[in-house]
Amino acid sequence: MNVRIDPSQEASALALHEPINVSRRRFLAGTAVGALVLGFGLPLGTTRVQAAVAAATAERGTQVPAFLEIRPDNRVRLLCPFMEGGQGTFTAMAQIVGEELDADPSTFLVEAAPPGEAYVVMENGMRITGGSMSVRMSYPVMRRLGALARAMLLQAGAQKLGVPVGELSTEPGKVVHAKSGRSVAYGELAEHAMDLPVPDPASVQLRDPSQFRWIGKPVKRVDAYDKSTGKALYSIDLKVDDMLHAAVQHAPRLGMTVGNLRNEEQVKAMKGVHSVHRLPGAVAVVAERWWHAKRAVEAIQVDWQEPTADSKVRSMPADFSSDAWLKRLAEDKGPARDDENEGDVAAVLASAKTRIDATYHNQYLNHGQLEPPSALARFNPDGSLEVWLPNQAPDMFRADIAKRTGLDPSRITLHSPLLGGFFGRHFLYDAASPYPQAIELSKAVGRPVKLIWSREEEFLRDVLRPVAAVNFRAALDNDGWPLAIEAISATEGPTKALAGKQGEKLDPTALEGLSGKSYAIPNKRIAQIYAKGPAMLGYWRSVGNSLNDFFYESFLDELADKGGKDPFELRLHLLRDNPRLTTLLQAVGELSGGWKRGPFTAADGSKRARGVAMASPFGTQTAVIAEVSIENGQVKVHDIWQAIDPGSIVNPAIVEAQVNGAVALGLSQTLVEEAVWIDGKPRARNYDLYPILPPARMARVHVRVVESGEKMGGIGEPPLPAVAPAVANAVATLTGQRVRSLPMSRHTFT
Amino acid sequence: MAATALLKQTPKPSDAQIEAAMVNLCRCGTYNAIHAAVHELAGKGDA
Repeated sequence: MNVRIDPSQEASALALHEPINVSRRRFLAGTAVGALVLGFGLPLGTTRVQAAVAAATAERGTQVPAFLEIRPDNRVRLLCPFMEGGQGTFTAMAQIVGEELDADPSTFLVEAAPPGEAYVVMENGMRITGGSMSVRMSYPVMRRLGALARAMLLQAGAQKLGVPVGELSTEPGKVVHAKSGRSVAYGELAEHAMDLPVPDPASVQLRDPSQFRWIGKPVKRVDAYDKSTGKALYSIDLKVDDMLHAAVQHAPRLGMTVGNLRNEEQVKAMKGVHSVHRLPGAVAVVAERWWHAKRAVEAIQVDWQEPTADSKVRSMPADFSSDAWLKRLAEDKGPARDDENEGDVAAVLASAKTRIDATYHNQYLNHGQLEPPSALARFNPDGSLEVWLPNQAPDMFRADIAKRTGLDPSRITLHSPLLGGFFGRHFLYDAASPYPQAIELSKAVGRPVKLIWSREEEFLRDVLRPVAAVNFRAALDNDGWPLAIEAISATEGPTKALAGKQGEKLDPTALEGLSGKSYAIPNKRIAQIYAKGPAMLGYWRSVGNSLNDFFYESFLDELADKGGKDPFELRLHLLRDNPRLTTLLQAVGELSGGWKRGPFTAADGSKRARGVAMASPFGTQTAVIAEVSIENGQVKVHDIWQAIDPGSIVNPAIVEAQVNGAVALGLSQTLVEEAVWIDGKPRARNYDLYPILPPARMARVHVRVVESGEKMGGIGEPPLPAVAPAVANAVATLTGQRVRSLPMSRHTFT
Repeated sequence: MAATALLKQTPKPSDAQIEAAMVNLCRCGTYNAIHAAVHELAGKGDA
C-alpha cells in the first residue's frame, strides 16, 4: 500500500503536543477575561442568560484573530468553538468558514478552541457541543466570521498591491486583481491582515447560497486521514514530560467513603508503585506506568464506609434495583404537573365510548463511548494549572476547576482534545469525571499526572440515560379517529437530576417527544410526575426523545389498531394541515418503495412486516419505516428507511453517516441494550455483560434528506428517536404482540 | 486486521463472508460503512 505523504502531519502533531501558545496571539488576552460561566441546563430565559445573549448578539464571533490563523503555506488553522467527537463538526465548520473566507476546507487544520467569551458563538448565548446545536446555532455567525476574515485579507491585499480594494476579488486561497492579472496568496497577507481592525460586521456581504462551492457538498472529513493512520490524539493518548500515571478504585456505591486500607503496605510494595492515595469516594495508585497503577489499585482491600447523611453526592442505597424502580414508577400516582393541556381531556375520556389505556416504560442505558474517561493535570512552576480532558463545554469545566482549586480562571488552561465518542457523556456531571482526581493527585505528588479510568470504573460511575413509566389514556371518536390523548410520565429529567431538585418549571428534557407532537388531536394532556431516583442521570443521544417517541409513537399505533385505521393513513390524517410533515411522511413511504404494512412473505420465504414512526427532535423532523421478521424468537430488523428534514444541511455525507450511527444506537436500545442495577450496583462493568448492537443485528439503512428550507435543525441526535417505535410497530403487525417496554431481548416472540 | 485477513483468504467476499469476518463491535454504528469499504477494497484488488 502506498503511504500518502501529508505535509500537514508534522505541523499538526506539533500543534497537538504543544499547548496553544498563549503569547503568540493577542486574542487570548481578551478571551481569558470574563469567561461566560454557564450552568448547563440553566433554563433559557433566566436573567443571566438573557443578559449574556443580549450582550453577545452583535459581537458574537467577530474576534477574527481569536479563531483564525493563516500560515505562510496558506493553511488555515481554525480554533473551533465545538468539540469533534466523530460527529463531523470540525469538517462542517471548515466548510462554513471556508465558504465565506474563500478557502478550500481541505486546507484547514481544525482544533478545539480554549474556553473564553470570544468563542460563545451560539445564538442561545451558550457554547456547548450538544443538543445537536453546533451547526444550527452558529451557522450565520460562523459564515460572517469567514466573510470578515476575507474582508481583512482584501484590505491587506489592497495595501500590498497599491490598488483600491473595490478592484479586488478572491479565488480560493488568494486575493486577485483581475485588471493587472496579479494575485497574492492569503498566506502572504495574513500577518498584516490579522493586524487590521475587524470590519463592521454589518459591512460584509455573505455569499449567495446558489454560489456555494462547499456548503451542501459531501466534502471529505478534515479528520479522516489522521484518524485512519492512528495519528489523531485523544485525551487518553497524551503525554507531557515527567508525567506519572494513575488508576482508581471507586466505592462500589456512590456516596460511600474510604475507610481502612487493609493491605496498604503490601500494595505500596507492588511493582512500579509510586504512592497510594485516599480520594473522596475512591482510592488511587500513582505509578510510572498505568498498568502498574491499575494492578495495584485493584489489589487494595478497602473497608468502604456507608454514606453519611451529609454526603455531598447522590448516595446510592444498597437495595436499589432498576427493575423494582421501574415497577414503582409505573405505579406512581403522585401529583402531576401539566406541560401541554388543550381541550378537555378529562371530560372526553369520561364520556368516550372507545377508550384505550396502556402503560409503557424504558430502560437505563450507559453511554458506552469507545474512549474511557481520562484527565491529565499539570501544575506549572508559576502555580498555574493545565488540564487536558474530554469535555462538551469547556467554560463550564474551567469554572468548575476554578471552584475546586480556588485558582482564578485566568490561571487555568483547559485543553479539549478529540473525543473518542461521547453521546452526551462529557457534560459536567458530579462524581462522573476523573479530572478532580487527576488534579488532586498531581498536586499531591508535585508532578503531572494522567489518570485513566478503566472500563470497569467507567461503567461504575457513568451517568445513566433516564427512565420513565408513562400511563397513557386515549379516546376515539365514532369514526375511529383519536379524539383525546393523555400521557402522564413518572420520571426525573436529566437536567433536573443534575440540579438534584425539582425546579419551578418542568424539565423540558424529561417530556420532549411526548410534548411537541404535531398531530391534530383536539384534546391532549402531557404531564409529569416528578420521581427523583437514586441513580445519577445524564444526557444520552437524543435525550428525552430517545424514550418518549418510543412511548408516544407506539401508543399512536395502538389507537390506529383500535380504530381500524392503517397507521400510515392515520398519521397522514392527523397531519393533514401540516404540509412539511405530510411531505416528509410521503417521502419515507416513497423511499421504501411505497407504504406496505404486511405481514407479507419476503423473497427468502421469511414472514415480515413494516412499521412507521415519526419524531420532531432538536429542530429537525424525521420519519422512519422499519421492516422486521422473527428469527429464533428474536426480532430481526432488515431495513430502516429514514427521511429527515433538518431545514437545510451543510454536508450530505456526514448527514448520512450520522443517520447510520443514530440508527445503530437506536436499534441497540430497541433490541438488546440495558443497564441493569441490582443491590445498588451495575450488573455490567464491561461489554461482556453490557450488550450493544453487534454487526449481525444491524439493519440496512436508506436515507433521504428533505431540505424544506425551514429553520436549520440538528443532525447528530434526530435520526435516533423514531427507530424504536417503527420497529415496535412492525413487530406488533407481524406478531400481534405489542411491545410496551425495551429492550426487546426481554420479550419472546413467536 | 480482520479485513486484511479476510481479503487475503477470500479476495471477493460475499455479504455473508464479510459478516462472518468483521465481527468487531462498533459503538458508533459504522457497520454498513465497514461492509461497503470491504466490498470497495475487494473491487479495487481486481483492477
